Amino acid sequence: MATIGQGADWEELRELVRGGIPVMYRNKIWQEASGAYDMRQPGYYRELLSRQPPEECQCWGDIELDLHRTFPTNVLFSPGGQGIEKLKNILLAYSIHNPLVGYCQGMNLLAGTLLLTNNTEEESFWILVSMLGRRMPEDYFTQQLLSPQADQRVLKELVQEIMPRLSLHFQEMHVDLTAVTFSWFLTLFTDCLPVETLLRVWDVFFVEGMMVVFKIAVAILWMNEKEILKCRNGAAVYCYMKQMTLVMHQADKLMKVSKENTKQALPKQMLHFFHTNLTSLTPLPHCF
Amino acid sequence: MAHTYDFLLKFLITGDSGTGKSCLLHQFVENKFKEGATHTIGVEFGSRIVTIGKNQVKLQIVSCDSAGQERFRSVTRSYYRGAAGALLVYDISNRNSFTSIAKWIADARKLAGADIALMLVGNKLDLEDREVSYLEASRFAQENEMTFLETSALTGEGVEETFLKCGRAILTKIETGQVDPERPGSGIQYGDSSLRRISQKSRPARQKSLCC
Repeated sequence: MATIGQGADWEELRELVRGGIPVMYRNKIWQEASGAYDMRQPGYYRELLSRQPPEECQCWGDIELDLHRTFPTNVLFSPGGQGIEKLKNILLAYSIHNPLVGYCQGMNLLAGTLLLTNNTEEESFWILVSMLGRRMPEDYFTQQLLSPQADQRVLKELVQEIMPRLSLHFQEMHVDLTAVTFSWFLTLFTDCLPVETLLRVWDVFFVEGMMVVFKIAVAILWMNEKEILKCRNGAAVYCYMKQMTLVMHQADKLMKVSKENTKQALPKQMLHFFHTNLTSLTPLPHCF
Repeated sequence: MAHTYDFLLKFLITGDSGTGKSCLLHQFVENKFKEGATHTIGVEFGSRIVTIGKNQVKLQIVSCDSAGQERFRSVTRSYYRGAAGALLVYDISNRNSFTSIAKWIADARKLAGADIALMLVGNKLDLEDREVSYLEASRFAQENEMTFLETSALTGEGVEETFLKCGRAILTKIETGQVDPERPGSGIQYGDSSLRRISQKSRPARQKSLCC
């Protein structure tokens, strides 16, 4: 399946996935579509973990801090839950596997979501590796987070193109869209969408890649445009936008809107925007 | 009307990871401890209208939750621009978080301007294993021209007072002319009621000029 990239079969698969992957097939299809099956090397995961004790790991402090604040109300991750140890192992293993990236906040939510969808510890690790290396640009979580920042500029341009009134409203209310949407990109909506909608978004993400994140982001804003326009000050806009995603239970509608309203506007413009924006973002001097 | 206010002041909460920034925000806005919530990436928002002196003041607060991790600094630095005040938070049971405060002061003054009202906040007052004494922190605050308070986002102790003090410090800066609310990026806006007062004042003047 991972080798199929076009043609009628591919279109059919995309259509099916947009309708939602049945729970019993979900983790298998995620592993296949993300490329995790291909990347998997037997024994490698355990070997990574046996290299050094956690405390000697460079990222240990940051990881430890986030272990107890990742889905703490879920029984798997509440104090004493079995998920915490697994989460710790996955994040440590990843930071050793890719020392250039190490650990970045947000990965805990990605790994946690993988564990919550019935993947074993090792399966979750490989999906995470393929997500961060193949489905998302390789430099997504690197030191200064330039790539996700460039994506924010692209998103703003898209909003201006597709929803000019909303874009103007943000300007007038002194609202910085990035303040709300940055985490959508970095955590793939993990910390904002209800879980049933989130999994539907991830289904499509594993098959179609990063483009889906833009499509969903635009669709969320599109579906809430009227209400956002009613907010008469910046604080009200921020508050509305923070809670609007928490109640997006209409996954089918979100999928439909994301497919339709971006059909024309998205691919061609995005590539153009992305390239101009990434080159204009230069790494910051060391002090910042 | 309940929603009118004289000023809108923009605040920022920053500090190391795990110092309780979003819990402080939650305690102030919702009046309760934020329990069992997943920490968010990026920023959190909250706002509340309070009475300071004779003014109704709306505090619009941004908590930079990921600010603690170095790689997020380039992302969160944009929120300093347009902030009238900042709470720099450390954990009284974690010396490293206190040591980092010098870095947060430098960031705030450099990015928001020298006039930003800074508050040093020692959080987690409810914990017993204190690593930073009240005396040491208050001296440090004095040397760096900041107001200092200790709080517990868990019990709510000192939280209200912290935000009110920061608001009051900004209003004083406005009264003494140290900051100009009209300057773009000052982090201060006139609210509906003060706008109304201004337009009422200006109306007779305009009529007069029309007559002439």
